[in-house]
Amino acid sequence: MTREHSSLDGGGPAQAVEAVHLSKHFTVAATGKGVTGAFRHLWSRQKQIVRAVEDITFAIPTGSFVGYIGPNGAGKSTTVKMLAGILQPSTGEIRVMGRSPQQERQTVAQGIGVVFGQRTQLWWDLPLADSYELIAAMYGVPASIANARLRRFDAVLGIGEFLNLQVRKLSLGQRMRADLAAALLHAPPVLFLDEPTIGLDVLAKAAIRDFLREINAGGVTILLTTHDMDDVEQLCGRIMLINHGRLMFDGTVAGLRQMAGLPAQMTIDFAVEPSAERPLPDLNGGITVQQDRARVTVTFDRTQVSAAKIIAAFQDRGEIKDIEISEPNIEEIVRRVYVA
Amino acid sequence: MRPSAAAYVRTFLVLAKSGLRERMHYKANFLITSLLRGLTALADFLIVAVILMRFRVVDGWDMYEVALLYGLASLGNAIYHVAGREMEQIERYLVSGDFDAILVRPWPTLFTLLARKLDFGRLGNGVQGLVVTVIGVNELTRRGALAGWEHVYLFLIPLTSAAIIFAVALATAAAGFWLIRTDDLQVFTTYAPVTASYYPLSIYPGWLKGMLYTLIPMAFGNYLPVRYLLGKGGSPWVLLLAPVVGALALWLAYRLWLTGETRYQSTGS
Repeated sequence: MTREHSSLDGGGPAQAVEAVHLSKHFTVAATGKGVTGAFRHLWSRQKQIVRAVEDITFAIPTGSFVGYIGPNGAGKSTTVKMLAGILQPSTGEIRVMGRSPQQERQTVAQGIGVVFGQRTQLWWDLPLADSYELIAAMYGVPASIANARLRRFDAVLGIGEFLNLQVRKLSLGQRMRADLAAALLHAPPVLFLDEPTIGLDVLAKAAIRDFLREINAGGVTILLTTHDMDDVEQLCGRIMLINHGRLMFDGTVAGLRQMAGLPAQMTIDFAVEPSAERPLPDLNGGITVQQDRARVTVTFDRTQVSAAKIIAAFQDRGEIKDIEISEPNIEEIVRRVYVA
Repeated sequence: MRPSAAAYVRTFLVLAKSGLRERMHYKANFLITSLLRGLTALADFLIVAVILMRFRVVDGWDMYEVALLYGLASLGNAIYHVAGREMEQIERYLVSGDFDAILVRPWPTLFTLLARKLDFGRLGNGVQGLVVTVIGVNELTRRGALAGWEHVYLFLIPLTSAAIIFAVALATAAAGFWLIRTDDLQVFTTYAPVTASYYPLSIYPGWLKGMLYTLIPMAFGNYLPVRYLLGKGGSPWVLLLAPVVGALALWLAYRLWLTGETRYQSTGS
């Protein structure tokens, strides 16, 4: 049933990444509390099964940019590690570019780029340029092509300025950019990113997002695991939400908003404090109004009331200085979906 | 699409060059550690030499014979260490999850792992081994204990030794995929047996000898071939058997490594 999407004959499969009924269970020995527990653990073989990933199925078409989100310990990294050929699934099947990363790890590795934000894949004690030379050699990229690509990466990521520094001397932001360039040096058609913006400042995040957008526009399929909801909102056409190892949602950002049914919020600042005695305009329900001196905060459901209608309703209550509408925060949405 | 043999060699050379460069980055450090390692190893042997001069013989082996045994084992150990250093760090890779980075490369994991750091500083030990070997060979040739083709076979001994140590270290590292903690096991399976192989195995108690002939077949590295070459007993077949044991041990250890690799659990997050 997996094969109907993947074509192994040339031209590249339509689905860059596929997972079918994918599960990963870890067996951990249950340790008792305290010293006696630890002792008992020596000869008791009590085991506990952790279901890190449970029956996940998805397909990612070539060229898409997918955000993979969820709280800590949801199973995001475990999934990515299975896709990258690092972990063996307990059950289920994976196809990356039509091939199994478990059975053909080396071939799949040649076609994917991987960035783990938490740790570098560069040579710690060598100048950055040497790491690129090594990676080019490992992936069989001729020096001239590697250099041309590095020049292109430099234009967006600005890696040129620290090319001769030892990797250990790079700042976190520099290292992240360097790692991204390293993961793309062999021009892989599929890119797995695990928290690539973690711990970065706003400028560094922006540089990395611009770069990812450009890479994706060039046809690279990207699966982005992140905590940063801004990443997802700005980059991903599709999101997959995972919790307790299960896929809870798979669709667009707007679709997720709708599913969670979170209201939008409008803040209206009046020039003078409007009189509270005047009755509320009738907007066939669906809104709540709070007033704090000259500021009125309206919470409303976009599917029932338009923002324009609300503004119109409040216009006759005084001179409006400023209006601000904020969409529901994705973090809030995620929380709602988890609770549901 | 598997890499060709030429690609292996080419890539290995690039990686080896960088390993050297990485060390050279601290040039003085590189020279000093190489020199110190050679000197400490030489000091080790001098202590043995002093004891030997005092007692003349160890279980029927005189100083020059022990020198040959010791020098060849030391050379084998040096060869092993140049390539095998990163294998001894496997615990760190498994505990930290750094093995992830090894698995995402389009090469066999062992190749990627070993190529991460080639320890050329160990060549200092090799120089010491070479000096001690030459002293032994010189005297034994003068006596007529070594002649003609036997000299040629001597070149094979450090390679067999290196192969056996490598195999044992690889099997130990592979065990890490089940045990995670392997640092202490390594002392037991590699460090101690390598040290034991510097001297005639006949001086050790039966259980230890038994182990060095079977589970950790260090005996086939230097002891058995040298014993035959010096006319101290054993069958001529041992000269053929030794490299076969080396190759077989390597093959078995690598099978274990490949099995272990699929059990890798990485770390959380």
